[in-house]
Amino acid sequence: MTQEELDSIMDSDIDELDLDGTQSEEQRQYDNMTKSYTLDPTKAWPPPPPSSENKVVHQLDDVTKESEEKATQLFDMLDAISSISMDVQEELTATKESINSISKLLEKLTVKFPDMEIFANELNKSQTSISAIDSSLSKIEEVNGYVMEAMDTMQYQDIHRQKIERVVNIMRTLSNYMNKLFEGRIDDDKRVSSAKHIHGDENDNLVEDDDIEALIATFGKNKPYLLADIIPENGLG
Amino acid sequence: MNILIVDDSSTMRRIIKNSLMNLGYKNILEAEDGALAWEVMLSEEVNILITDWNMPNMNGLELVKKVRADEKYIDMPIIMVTTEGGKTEVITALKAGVNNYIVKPFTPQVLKEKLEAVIGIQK
Repeated sequence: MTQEELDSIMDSDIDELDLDGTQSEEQRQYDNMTKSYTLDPTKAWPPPPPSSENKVVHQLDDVTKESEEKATQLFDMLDAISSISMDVQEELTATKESINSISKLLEKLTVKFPDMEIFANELNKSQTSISAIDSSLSKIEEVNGYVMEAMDTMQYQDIHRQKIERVVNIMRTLSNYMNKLFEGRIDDDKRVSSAKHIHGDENDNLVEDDDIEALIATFGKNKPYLLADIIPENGLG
Repeated sequence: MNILIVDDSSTMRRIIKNSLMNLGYKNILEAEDGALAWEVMLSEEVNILITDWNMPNMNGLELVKKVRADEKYIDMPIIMVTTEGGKTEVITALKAGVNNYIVKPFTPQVLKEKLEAVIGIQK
């Protein structure tokens, strides 16, 4: 999210924000359920609602996509490092050549003027510089080696992606199998609703016939109906 | 010499391309699945095919069979670069017409050796 988008959210009325305009009503309901749900690995129940954050295959697909994008960015950076180190390598090589010719000149001067200490000193300095450049060049070579190694190691992004794909395929296969296994001929909305308490259940809430009569008496419903109560005043017509 | 790299992972295509460029190969083509690769092969002349196995639309094995069925590409060197490391898979790929087989992850040296083996430029 950009700073502009963030500022726009900060300026708007939070209650009016549509967090995901493309969401279905069903998804919105699940997402609302999530608001009151906290994932706690120590509790087995209730399981997480199938909201956007909890849909496993969606999440894994996102991981795959994002890791590919990040790998591409990483590759760009490694390419940049490689390109910069090649430039540095070229510059250092050119500098080394210049110092080398100065060094050769100083060698001749040192031989020709052995009493001139300055030539000997400058020759020493130039040779030290050449050694330093050689050391830098070998370090750059080492950096290039690491860059190549890092690029090769990025193959694991693809290997891990394929491991995730394998898990996703297993989950999708299981899901399809379960759906087929539990398939019914009657639509769910046309099905008889489940009874909560059935004879034979072990439940404190179950009642015997005496309990039913007692409950009816409590509610005053066991009074026998009088004929006048059920037959209108003008008779049976 | 045109080398076609076929892999649905852009990271893998880049790694292979990088290795090939370091070996001095310049004309490198890319496709992200077998179907797109076949389109490239119909429009461009491809001299070496380096393909992954598991890809959407048309997988590597299907591509190899399609390529081998075409007169134009009957002798073209094909290397399969894949995570499929089973003996059965290697045999299946070889029977389909693959010339060499690399299991991911691989080193640039392995790619170099396999490439040299299929194009017969042993150094």
